[in-house]
Amino acid sequence: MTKRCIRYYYFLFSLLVLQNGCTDFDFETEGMSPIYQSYEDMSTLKSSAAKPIKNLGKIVTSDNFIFINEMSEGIHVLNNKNPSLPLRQYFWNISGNKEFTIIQNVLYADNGKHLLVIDIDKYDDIKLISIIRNQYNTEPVQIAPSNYSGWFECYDVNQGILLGWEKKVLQTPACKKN
Amino acid sequence: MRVLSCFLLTMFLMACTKDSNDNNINSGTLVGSYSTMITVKQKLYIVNKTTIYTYDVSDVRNPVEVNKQDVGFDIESLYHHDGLLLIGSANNMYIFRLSDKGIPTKESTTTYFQAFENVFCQHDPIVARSNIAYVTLSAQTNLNATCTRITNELRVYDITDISKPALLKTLQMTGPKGLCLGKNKLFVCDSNDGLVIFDVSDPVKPVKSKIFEGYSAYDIIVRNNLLIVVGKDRLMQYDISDENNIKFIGKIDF
Repeated sequence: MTKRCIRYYYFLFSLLVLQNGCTDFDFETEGMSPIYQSYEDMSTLKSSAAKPIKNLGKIVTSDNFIFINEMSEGIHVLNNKNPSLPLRQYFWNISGNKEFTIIQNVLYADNGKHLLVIDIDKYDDIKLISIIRNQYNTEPVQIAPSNYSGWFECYDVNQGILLGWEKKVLQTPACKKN
Repeated sequence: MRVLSCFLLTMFLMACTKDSNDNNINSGTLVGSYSTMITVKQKLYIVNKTTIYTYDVSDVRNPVEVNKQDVGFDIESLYHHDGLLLIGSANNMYIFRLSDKGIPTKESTTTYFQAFENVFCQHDPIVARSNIAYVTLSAQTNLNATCTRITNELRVYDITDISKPALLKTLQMTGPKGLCLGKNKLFVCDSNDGLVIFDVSDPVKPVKSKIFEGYSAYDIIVRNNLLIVVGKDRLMQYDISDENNIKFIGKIDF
């Protein structure tokens, strides 16, 4: 009986050792966590007030307008009737957007996963027409919160569009920025 | 019935006059050299990292997928030239020919580098005129990817035989990005040097003719006599009605 017991405890103990040998110790720490927007959520798609350009992306022009992508956020609409003085007129909020083109009064724009077909007949009031699903493959990307060093929860592209970062208590985060 | 066919005929004629410019449904819109979506006639071509999709957009609100095929890896840019699609990837230039129905068929693959390089660099835009194609290869990237390539070049290819493009010339640059063609000039954005202008009166021998320095240029569109350049922190516009006397018109700071 005692022998069996010892053997049993020995077995349990070895399991514990093995486990600890394979994985890191669990820990809890404060850090940054990604804020996600679902690829299916179209509630933020809208035309809004012009804003400064931060992360320049791709460009498209029409007769009197220049369209400039703000990486992963949407499209700046610049009125270029007077090329010596172009004016930022609107910002089309399209979360996750990097690629786009315009055909007549229809905007084709991606959100990182789907292709969105959007009515832009009125630049100040754009409307989703339809969604072409899974036009793009979501590929793993390594993104870290800017101006930050420390632990953070890795961004998982399959969970959605990255909107920003928030402070949180994290359980054993796998990502760290020095 | 007669009324209907009359109406349809009128619609058809209207469509013809509207699309007089190369019969392109999208003649009013011009895209930058990094575009991955372009329209030719009634078709919209979209590349993602590995695949080219063809959509029929005759009804622009209701695109219909008509073709889909694998191209390669790390595809980044798409350019149309005379019934050909030139597709840029990190390591290759692919040439597809469009059928009468607008369906692409692969004609050739040109590898930029002989030796294998661990390249995560993105964006090698291409432009072409008659039988000459220009490509920029850049060591820097605008995206988050780390780039291990050390090449910064403008390359000139002869594409007379599209099954076998021939490298004619390589010009060293410091950080070439988007590019486009004027009448006799090739305009190249450079992330270090600004806007670099080459004379291509002899298309196979580009000669550097002028540089507008002082900013990091990224992409470019020629719109009639207007040259629109976007840089990291500004948008610059130039009047190119006289290509030998290009005038700065105005800018907007981001």
